[in-house]
Amino acid sequence: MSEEEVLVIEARPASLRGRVRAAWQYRHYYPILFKEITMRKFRNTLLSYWWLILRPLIPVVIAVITFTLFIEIETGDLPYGMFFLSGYICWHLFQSTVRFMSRTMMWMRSVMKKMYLPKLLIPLASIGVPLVELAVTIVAILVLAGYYYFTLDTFYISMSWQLLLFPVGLALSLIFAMSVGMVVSVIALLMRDIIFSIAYVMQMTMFITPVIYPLSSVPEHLQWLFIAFNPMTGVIETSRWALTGFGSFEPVWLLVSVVQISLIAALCLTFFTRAESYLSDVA
Amino acid sequence: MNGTTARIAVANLSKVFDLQKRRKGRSGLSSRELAAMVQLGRSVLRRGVRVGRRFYALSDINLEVGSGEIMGIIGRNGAGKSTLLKILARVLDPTEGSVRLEGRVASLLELGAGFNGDLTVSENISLHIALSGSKPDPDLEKRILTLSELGDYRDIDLDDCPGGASARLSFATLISVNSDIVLADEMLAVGDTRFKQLCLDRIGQVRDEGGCVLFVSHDLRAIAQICDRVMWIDRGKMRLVGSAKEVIRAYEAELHAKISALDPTASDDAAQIIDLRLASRAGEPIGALRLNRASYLECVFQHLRPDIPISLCFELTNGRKQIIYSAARTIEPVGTDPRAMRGRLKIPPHFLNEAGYQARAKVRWKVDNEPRKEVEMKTDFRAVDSDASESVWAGWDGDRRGLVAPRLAWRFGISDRKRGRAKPL
Repeated sequence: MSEEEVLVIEARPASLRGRVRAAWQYRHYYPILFKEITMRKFRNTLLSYWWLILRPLIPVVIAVITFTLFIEIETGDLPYGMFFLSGYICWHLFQSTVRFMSRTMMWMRSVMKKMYLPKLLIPLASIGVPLVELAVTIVAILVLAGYYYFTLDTFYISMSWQLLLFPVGLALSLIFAMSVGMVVSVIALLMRDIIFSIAYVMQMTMFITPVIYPLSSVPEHLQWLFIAFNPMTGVIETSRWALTGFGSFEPVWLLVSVVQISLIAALCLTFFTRAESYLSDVA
Repeated sequence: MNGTTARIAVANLSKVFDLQKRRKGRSGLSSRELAAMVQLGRSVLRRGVRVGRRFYALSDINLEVGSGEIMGIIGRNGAGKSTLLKILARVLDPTEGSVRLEGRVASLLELGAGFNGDLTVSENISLHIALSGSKPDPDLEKRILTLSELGDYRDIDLDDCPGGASARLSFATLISVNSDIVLADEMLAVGDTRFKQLCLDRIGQVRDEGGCVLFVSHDLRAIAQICDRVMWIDRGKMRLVGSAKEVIRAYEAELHAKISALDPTASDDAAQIIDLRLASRAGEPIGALRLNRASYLECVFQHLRPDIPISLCFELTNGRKQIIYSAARTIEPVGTDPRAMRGRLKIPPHFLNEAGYQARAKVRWKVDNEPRKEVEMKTDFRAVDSDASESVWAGWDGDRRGLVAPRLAWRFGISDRKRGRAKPL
């Protein structure tokens, strides 16, 4: 009893600052939660950690086979594999984070009922699996670039300052995904349907995002629709240009994405903050 | 130690739940899920809730627990005892008021809470030590292992350990970790006498070190034995705080008065449930059911309109909401004077398995052409195995499965084909 800890619990409307402070105060929970949530994914699976490699790579293989052998998509000098992967890295980070996070709150439900747990820590601790999958896709593009270097004698990854924009794209995708995932995970506690539907929603939205095709292949008078209503468009176009130099860099597109994602993140955080006390009452 | 500082100070604490309207549909627009979503939306938009009814689970609670004090909380079912404990443990947020806790808090709201069956015993212990904010400590781990008597199972998954392992583990952890404030629900109800003694020792130690213990129990005898002071909560309000003897006496007197205070004009209902509890044969409330002893579910209710026949139904549900047992009796109309009734259902020894259960009492009636009406009350309790020699699990060290665990006859023998049956050894 050398050091006295004083804890004051007060009834007051939830504030983001309070939630952040609580999460910080209980930061020693973070590694435990992180481990628990990350390991949970592989429980009762035959292939266990191999899923980390398989899950991001299967769509890559399917897309590359389909769009090089059966349907051709005009990607200029850039081989389709490089084209697809350079945009898919951000997209995969986005969709795997949202899909993974949709379940994590549910997993922690029994813990939340029995002991205090700042709920903000749960979405923050849910990024282990998506980040490993991100690493897998990055390794994949490096391997592919190496393959083309030896066969076509061209290194398709741009080696200049523009590469610095790639991490920006990744960060934007992650922030966007975590904001959406936070809200989805809360809704999933009350309505499990959203977990089933989110997989389809992600598949469908991929088709209205320039992942398998370049934005330039979209009729010019429709391009603004992609930019205005899909924050991922600017992110993917920018990061693809940053990685491979494909297309052109439009600062306005990136700016639009940044503004959209910041607004969405603020909204989602507010939602999460205010939903927290309601959740502990019904959980 | 300074004996006057308040370890726990609760000021004007209230907790409001927004009750949902009862929804019947399983899917679509009338489903519970959609109703929950509407509530969530309203609470996020801070529109208040018009969908359901506001229910004060706690209102205006003021309480101070000082250093070295053992405080008990009593009250009828649904009075708000557990809600108070949950707010102190920060599992629930208060609606109004504030709480000040001075010192490290260890809480046990539910047995086996926060333990993970897929981890080994020792991993679970280190997890808990980490969650309590301490550094890894091999001595502490060893102490918990010895206390919970799980030393042999150190590297075995908790799921594969003998039944009750997680319960023992949570107790051992609770009484081993360094804490100044201990919050516990039905703390003494579990385990054998040795375990009870350990708990009492720990309580004494907390008291000597200037900490405090706050615990909720149905077992009035245990409360009277160890608590310095007792608070009685009645329907979310503080009724009385004082010395254990005084409060328990008042509480029991009130319960009896309530049973005999028959006022048919108070409501249109033909019956009103006063209390539902788990009791010993002598009728004393107990905190947990011991598998090797008979226990009784006791429902005290008022039959306000004895000219109408009513039925009393008991239901036992397990943790997965499966109904294990239910039974009902109908009471034929007798005269017109309202009367206080006591329905008692004996749960024989060796019937339930080691687990948490919920008991529910329902009183139903029907007046001529009006729709059938019913009132109900529920209470949670645990069934614990305290004597290994009498257990149906004698010598078994695996998972104790099964909805029920009655003692069925066994016969061992050497197989003898010619005689067609087992020959006794």
